[in-house]
Amino acid sequence: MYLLRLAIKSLANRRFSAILTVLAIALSVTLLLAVEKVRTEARASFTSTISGTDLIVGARSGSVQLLLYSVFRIGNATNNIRWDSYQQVAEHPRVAWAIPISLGDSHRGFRVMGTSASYFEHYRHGRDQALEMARGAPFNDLYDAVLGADVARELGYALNSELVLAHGTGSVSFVDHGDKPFRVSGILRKTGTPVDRTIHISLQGMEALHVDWQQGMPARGAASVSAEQAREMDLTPKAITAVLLGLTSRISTFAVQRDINQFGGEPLQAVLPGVALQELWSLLGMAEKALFIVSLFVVLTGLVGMLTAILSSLNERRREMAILRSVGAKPRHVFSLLLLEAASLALAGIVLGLGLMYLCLWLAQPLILSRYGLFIAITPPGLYEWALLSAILAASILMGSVPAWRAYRQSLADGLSIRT
Amino acid sequence: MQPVLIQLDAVTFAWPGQPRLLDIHSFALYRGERVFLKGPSGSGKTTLLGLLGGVLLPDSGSIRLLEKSLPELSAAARDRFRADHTGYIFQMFNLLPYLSLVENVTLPCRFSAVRRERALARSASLEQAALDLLAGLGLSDPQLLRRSVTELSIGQQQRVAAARALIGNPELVIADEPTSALDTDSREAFLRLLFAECERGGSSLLFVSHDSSLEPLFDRALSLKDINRAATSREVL
Repeated sequence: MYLLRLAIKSLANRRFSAILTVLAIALSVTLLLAVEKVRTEARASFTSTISGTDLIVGARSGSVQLLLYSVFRIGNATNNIRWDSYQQVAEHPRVAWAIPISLGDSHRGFRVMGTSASYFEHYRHGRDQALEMARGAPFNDLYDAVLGADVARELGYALNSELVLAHGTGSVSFVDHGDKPFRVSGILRKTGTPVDRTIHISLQGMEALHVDWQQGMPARGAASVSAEQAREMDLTPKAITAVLLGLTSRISTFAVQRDINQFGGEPLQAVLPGVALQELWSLLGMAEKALFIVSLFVVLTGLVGMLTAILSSLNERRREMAILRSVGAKPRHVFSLLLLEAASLALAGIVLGLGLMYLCLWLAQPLILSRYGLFIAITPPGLYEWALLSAILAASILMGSVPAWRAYRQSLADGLSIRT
Repeated sequence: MQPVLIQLDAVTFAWPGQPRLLDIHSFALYRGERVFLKGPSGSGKTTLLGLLGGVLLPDSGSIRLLEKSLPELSAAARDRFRADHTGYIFQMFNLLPYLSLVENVTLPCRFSAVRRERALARSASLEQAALDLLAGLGLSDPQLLRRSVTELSIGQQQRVAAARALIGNPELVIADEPTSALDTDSREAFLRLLFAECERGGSSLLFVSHDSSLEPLFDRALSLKDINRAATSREVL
């Protein structure tokens, strides 16, 4: 105990270099913990992009691809689902609800998704959170659109704004649907998922846009159908892109999946969102691991800085060691003293780093929520964090044993004679 | 005659790869004695003190302190034995700059239970024991005691070092050129205070110096040259 007091007083006597060392360790610990925090939260947020949906159905392709276009609005479907296939799937006795999804158009870089009212009723994200309207209401009229939070914010749209959708998914399109403008009927509350970057219209609205199209080009002259004329026509879609399914009971998931995969009408596939998300995350995991490894090396750098500081102080402290030896300190006391010094520096660095991390988190939390829709909960360090911090402390003690050993050898050789 | 405190017989020592530095046929120091050991620098003084402190081991011969043969003890036991029975005063910069004056004095009691108990047998607390010793050495001004040790004059620092060597009444106090950084007047004053405290605590004093002007103040004075046969043989060569 007395050695610890000596170690701390000796450090306090060299407080300038001690504070710098502690600061270096603290910053590296802050970085490591922050990376860990963002990593786990991002992963949690990623896997909670979609919840409550038991199966995603699309044309047969890869499960990751299906997930990417149906949930993340990335890439395109290779094939569509015929409307009658959708109806058969939706009427399956074990299906509680079905959300049809039709993709393909865009508006200034944001995807347009045709869907039905059941989307607003049944779609869930996060921990079973439903979609909420920030303003307005779900679409009612044929040419109504509901905007995700980011779309409204970035494009500056308010309720009743008019927007012209473009054919295709590029941010610059040469073919637009100028003849049939849409009106904003509602804006969704921020979810932190791709929903924020989506413009939702009804399937019928989607159909109306393309009702007069032939071979991927709008009809000209007499063949073109005006917005008002389209209202009188049969706007039942011929095909959709994907279907999100909720089942009556989760137990029947695999049975329904099998039924859909063996569907006779056309080649379909049904995937479990959780499984597909895991598959996708394992692809993204590389970047995340790299980040973690980089922050581990930063911690190592901090500890090496500590090692350097202690080692370089050893020579000028030979007198101190000789005095301690003369008053009865054994070489192993000298060893412990140096080890305690390293441990105190590291512990102070860890505690300060922990404090800094929470300060940063507290400051950045609202910013991250509004910018990225990522809610980072401020929670006490978990078992994993404690394990990481203990590992850092253990590493620092291990590294501290290098100067401790040198001082031990030195004090054995010097004995009581003072060499400076 | 007082009982023997230190007894050296046929002790030889050489640093690795160097000619024999010490060859002491016989040397004894008695309890309560104040001995002046004279020797120029490089004559093996510091090495001899290392042997007496149990930090160095002789190549041959016996070193007995308080009837215990030092070379036969383990390194840890020698360390403990030194801490329990020997106090040291060095030439200068004896004090740890990050400890207070009183903390510097009580330092040996942190490492030696024997000296802690002896100090506590006389005083209510270690701090009191330190204060008593400091007062005996002329350091009683409360303002002075609050100062950082680096703000003290060298003479004051040496008196604090003496108090540290004396706390817990070790049987032996070894002073290695403690006065060489002091001026002539303060040398004598320092020695008188040191003698008085050694006497009060019953400690023997082995005082090593090259300054023979202090010789007359001691019970006995001898030159390292006279007891070290290695020195004479070297001179013959």
